[in-house]
Amino acid sequence: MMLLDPLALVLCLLSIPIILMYVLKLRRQQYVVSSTLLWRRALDDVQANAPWKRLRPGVLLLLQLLALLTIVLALAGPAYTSSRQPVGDLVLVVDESYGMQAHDVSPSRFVAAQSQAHALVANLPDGHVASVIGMGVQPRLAIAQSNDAAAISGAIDALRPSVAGQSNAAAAPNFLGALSLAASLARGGGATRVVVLTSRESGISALTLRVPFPVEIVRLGARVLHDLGITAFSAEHNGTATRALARVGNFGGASAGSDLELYVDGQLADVRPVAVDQGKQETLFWTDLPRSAHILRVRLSHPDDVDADKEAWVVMGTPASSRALLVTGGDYFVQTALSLDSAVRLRTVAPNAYQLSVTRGYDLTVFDGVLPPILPETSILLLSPPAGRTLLPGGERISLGRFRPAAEISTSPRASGPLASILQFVSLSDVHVARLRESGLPSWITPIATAAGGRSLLAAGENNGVRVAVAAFNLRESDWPLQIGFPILIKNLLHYLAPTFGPESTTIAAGDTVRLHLPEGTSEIRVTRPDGGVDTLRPPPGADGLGFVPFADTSLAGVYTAAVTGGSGSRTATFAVNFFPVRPAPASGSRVLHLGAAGSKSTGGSAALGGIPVGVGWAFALGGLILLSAEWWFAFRR
Amino acid sequence: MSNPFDFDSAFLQKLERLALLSRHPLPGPVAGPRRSVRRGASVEFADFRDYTPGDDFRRIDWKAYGRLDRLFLRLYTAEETTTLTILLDHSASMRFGESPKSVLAARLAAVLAYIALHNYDLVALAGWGDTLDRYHPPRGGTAATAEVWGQIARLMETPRGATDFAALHRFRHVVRGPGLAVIISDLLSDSDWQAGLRALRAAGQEVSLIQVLAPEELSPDIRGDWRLHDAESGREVEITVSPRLLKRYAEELARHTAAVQEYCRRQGIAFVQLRSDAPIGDVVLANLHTAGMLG
Repeated sequence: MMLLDPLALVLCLLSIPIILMYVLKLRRQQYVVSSTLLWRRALDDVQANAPWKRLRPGVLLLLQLLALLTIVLALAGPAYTSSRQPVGDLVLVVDESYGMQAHDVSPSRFVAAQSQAHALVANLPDGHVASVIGMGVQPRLAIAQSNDAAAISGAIDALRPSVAGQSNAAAAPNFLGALSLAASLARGGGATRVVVLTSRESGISALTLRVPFPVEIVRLGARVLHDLGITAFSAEHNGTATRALARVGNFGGASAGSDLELYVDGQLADVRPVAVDQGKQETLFWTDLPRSAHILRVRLSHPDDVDADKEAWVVMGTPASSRALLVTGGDYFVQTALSLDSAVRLRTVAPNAYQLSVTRGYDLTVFDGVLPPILPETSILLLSPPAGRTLLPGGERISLGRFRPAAEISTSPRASGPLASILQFVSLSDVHVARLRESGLPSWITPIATAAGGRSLLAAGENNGVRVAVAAFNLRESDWPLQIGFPILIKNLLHYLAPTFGPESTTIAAGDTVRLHLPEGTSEIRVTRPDGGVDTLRPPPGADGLGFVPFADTSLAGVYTAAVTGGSGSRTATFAVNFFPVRPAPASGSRVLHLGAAGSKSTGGSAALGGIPVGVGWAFALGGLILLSAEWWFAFRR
Repeated sequence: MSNPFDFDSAFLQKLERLALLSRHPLPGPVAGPRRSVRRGASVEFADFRDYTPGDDFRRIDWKAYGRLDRLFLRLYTAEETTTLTILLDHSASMRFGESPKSVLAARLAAVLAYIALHNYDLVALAGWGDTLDRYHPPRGGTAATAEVWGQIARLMETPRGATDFAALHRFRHVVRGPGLAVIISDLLSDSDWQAGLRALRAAGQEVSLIQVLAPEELSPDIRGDWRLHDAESGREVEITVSPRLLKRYAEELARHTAAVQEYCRRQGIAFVQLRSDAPIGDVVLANLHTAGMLG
């Protein structure tokens, strides 16, 4: 017999007030009688006028103390280790969530869970199979219905506690999903046992799915969790300074405090004490950090049961994006297509408000139905241009003439290399254009799509770092904007005309996949992780048009550096990966729950486990209830 | 005649037809128009009552026993006047109850005095609590009724300490000759009430004991936690009233009453227990008559 939660024995101190109630005299109302003669004779205990009286052991006191003892023992989680050999198949569900990283159980709850899983597998009877499910945000099957002890052990060892980030709305382990998976693995219904090894704070306290087999939930954790964690950290430039915000949450079972250190580009800039009540959060602000700050880091100096949430980083600077200026009289299709790309920050101006100086700071200027006499020194996209002439920054000229009928639109055979990516995933077979302007373009602007006679419908090119694309037809005289390929064409054009590099966001949640935007021609990206490890990413052939590669190895929190080689030269970008945990509410109650069809009979038959403590707190609770009833009956009779 | 007890004329007329009964022939201090019980003088049979152990077996009516197979005691009235001494407990406890015990005690004393005075007996009044503090010598004749009633009324207006039966030892210093003594008290006292009764008997008194208890004392109707304050001694007792305690209280009361009854039976003392809310008419015409005090 053991106690799973011996801390509850502290509640035995409640016996002191109970005994005090017997020793202290009540303050009573006075009642005048003619004589106390008969009352004194009737009383067993003639009491003196003193605040204390002699403690006389009585049945009531005995019953109350016994009731208290049994209830306290029930709360302390009495359990025994079943010596009976388990029977039936085994489905192990091992919690891979955040809480399993706590090292209040040496070396950690997760390792303890793995050890218990190994013990269960070692006791697997002959002729029966075991399955292992990793229960994270998404449950996954590690091994299914195997009787190969080595393979099962290998699957158990391969489990890892996941890093569930803030972006995961439900960071709690997916018990329902794991149980559904377990149900599909149960061969013989009631002959299958499901053992869930989970964190003490997992929040699992009831069965969410009706299952025909016993489910035993073993909560791991030696004591109440102590966990103060950073739940948010962000920063932004504000005028001549940088301001930052950090939020610290207490996910433990008691109030906790620590010092929060702020580092700016590796230098300690501030230390603040922070004390947080259980279940609460505290927010700290910094408003006068230097504008030149590039990497900010906060750290909780006081160690506790969980290490992963003690640090957070912010990388200042803009994420991979481009700024585009749209000069238009108003075109729904163009505006919508341009705004679909999250990597493009779009600003729209009317033609009469357009000046050359407005384009300063933009990567791309889109002229829709407008042809200024002089084009800006940005990348240029001319859509539905009117007839006329305009001057490129290099002094060359683009001229657009009369409309001519257009037919037989097709891809130009001259489109190759980066230009070919403009029409990637875009079909011209169903595109119809009524008329096409005669155009005079510099030689470095190459037709991409042409009409009958080789006349340029869509052309693009690059000269001295300036990229230009010209669509020499009126979009309103075409059905192209109505087709699904149109926004893809616009996105391809944007990627060609204003290439970006780096992550979409400079702050990523651990475990999330980050998209790294690439310039065309990128041959390799090397991502350096916080632990110094390097991941080399190579865009697959023909992936230029995608404009990005996904990077998923963000399990470590810290600052990542991505360096690109190839294309127009070497470039680097940094981004931060943070572990901002979202925790379920701590669960209460027994640390070993028996659920399911037969599991309600906690220790009987197939519900019994070898090497796993089987709780008998219910028996003590029942005993306490009986004693309380007896005490009430005795007091009433008295 | 002043009537501080609000007895109506019909009730008084009924009282005039009653007489005090004694278990033994009692010689009076003076010869009167009534029949004498003095030894050698004539005694008049007045009534029968059931024999109870402890009675003088010499006065058993054997002829009646022969006819009815039951033991009857012959009661006599005296030709001579006798002295009725009413010993009225006016301690603080007598004022207890929604129907105060002192009210019934005073009305009862007034009734007994009225009956005695209308039967040419003498009536003396003694008030006692922690001591025998009042004694009004015997008065005779119906004209003394108002005076005696006034004495009774004034006596009950002045409560006197705690009931102490030792006070009755002083009675022998003030009483002259044998007579009837009626004690009206609640008998709720730590003092030795048996010794008090013995002192009265030693003074040549044929003693009758009337115990008056309030309904709240006969069957308490309280629940919960209380600090009981003794109205006489000031003593306090803390109790938690439960059905079990109330049962114990009822047992103690029954035990106390039984002890008094047993003692009175052994000593030939008439005893009756009354509720303070009982109508005076019922008390006189039923209870006292049944107890053999009136006939």
